[in-house]
Amino acid sequence: MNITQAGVRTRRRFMKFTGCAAVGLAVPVGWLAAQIAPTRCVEAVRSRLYPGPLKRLRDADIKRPGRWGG
Amino acid sequence: MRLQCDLCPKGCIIEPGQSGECRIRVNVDGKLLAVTYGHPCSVHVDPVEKKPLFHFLPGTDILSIATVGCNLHCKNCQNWEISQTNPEDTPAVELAPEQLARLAKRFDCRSVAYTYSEPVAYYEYTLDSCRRVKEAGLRNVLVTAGYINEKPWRQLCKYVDAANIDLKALSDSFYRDICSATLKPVLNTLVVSKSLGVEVEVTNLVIPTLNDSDKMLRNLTRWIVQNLGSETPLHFSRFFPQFQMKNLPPTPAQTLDRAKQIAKSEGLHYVYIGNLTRPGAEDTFCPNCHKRLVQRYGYLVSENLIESGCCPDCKTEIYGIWN
Repeated sequence: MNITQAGVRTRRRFMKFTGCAAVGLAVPVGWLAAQIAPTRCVEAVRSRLYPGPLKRLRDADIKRPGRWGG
Repeated sequence: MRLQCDLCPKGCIIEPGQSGECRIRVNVDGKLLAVTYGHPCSVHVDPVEKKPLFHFLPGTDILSIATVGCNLHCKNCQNWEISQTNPEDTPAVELAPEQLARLAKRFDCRSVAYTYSEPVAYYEYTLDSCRRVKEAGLRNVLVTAGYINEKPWRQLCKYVDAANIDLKALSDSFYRDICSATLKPVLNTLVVSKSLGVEVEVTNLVIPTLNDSDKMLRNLTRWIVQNLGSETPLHFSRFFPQFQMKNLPPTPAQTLDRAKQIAKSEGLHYVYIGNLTRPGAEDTFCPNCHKRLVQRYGYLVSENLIESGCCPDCKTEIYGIWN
């Protein structure tokens, strides 16, 4: 009886220890992963500023078929 | 903060201050910015046959736009001067989506094409423009390599009437080696487009020694017949040496004839040869009675006999958008 009770106590203690250790590890690892993982996005923010030079939209250029394929 | 762009299958992870592979989606202070939005580098009125689209409003003009950038890096790109460059180095005009339909109408265009470079790369501009153009009663056309994830593509297809989608080869290694992409997403884009009612035409650029074997051509056309249907128009396009592929000769005319023959023998109804002017190669014939319905020479349509989308003789329905 005493041996069995001692055994149960030991097992419970072990289970408790393992559970605490798992939670204690998972929380910081999860937090760290969230910090490292990039934020995912499909649609981008519409920029109003073009980073390159601007030119005028001229009717003569539009009327001319594009020099590019497609 | 790092970002992952989930627009296309490349899934670029973008560090602050850097852009994705397309060069035009930039991480600015943790926000993904579409830096060419509303700033096309090319705006032109083209014949719709130039896209090429042969089953979509033949003989009409189409306002065609592009910004710089592309998510593919094909070694044979014919538009590399705008597709493989940075916006910082390329002049652009200001043209907001709401101005686009007005401009198209002013130039008597019934449709707008997002073309030349890659409309997938400038996705937000394409999407907003398509919405505005549709609201104005005009039609939208995409000319694309189709390298995009399914969800954003489905979103875009709500506003798209027709698309010419490149199928560069039915070979994943070809896509990896020549285009820095993969095959499967392109096939998915083709199937999804067709299932959503977009008028799909396929272009295959035939490059000597790389994708011109009988087996490759047969596999490609067989896949189209089985997955998109025999009514899907296929354009075999002639290759010319350029960009990083100047070591190969132009595609011989006989190769293109052979490709057409193979495609016809596999059951495709509408097969065309492009980038090579020869009489009859770009004409549309009725698949039932074989009457010539549309006669083309270069980008000119000299005759169009299609009535209400049907052959005037045998009344067979001809795939496409005709009015």
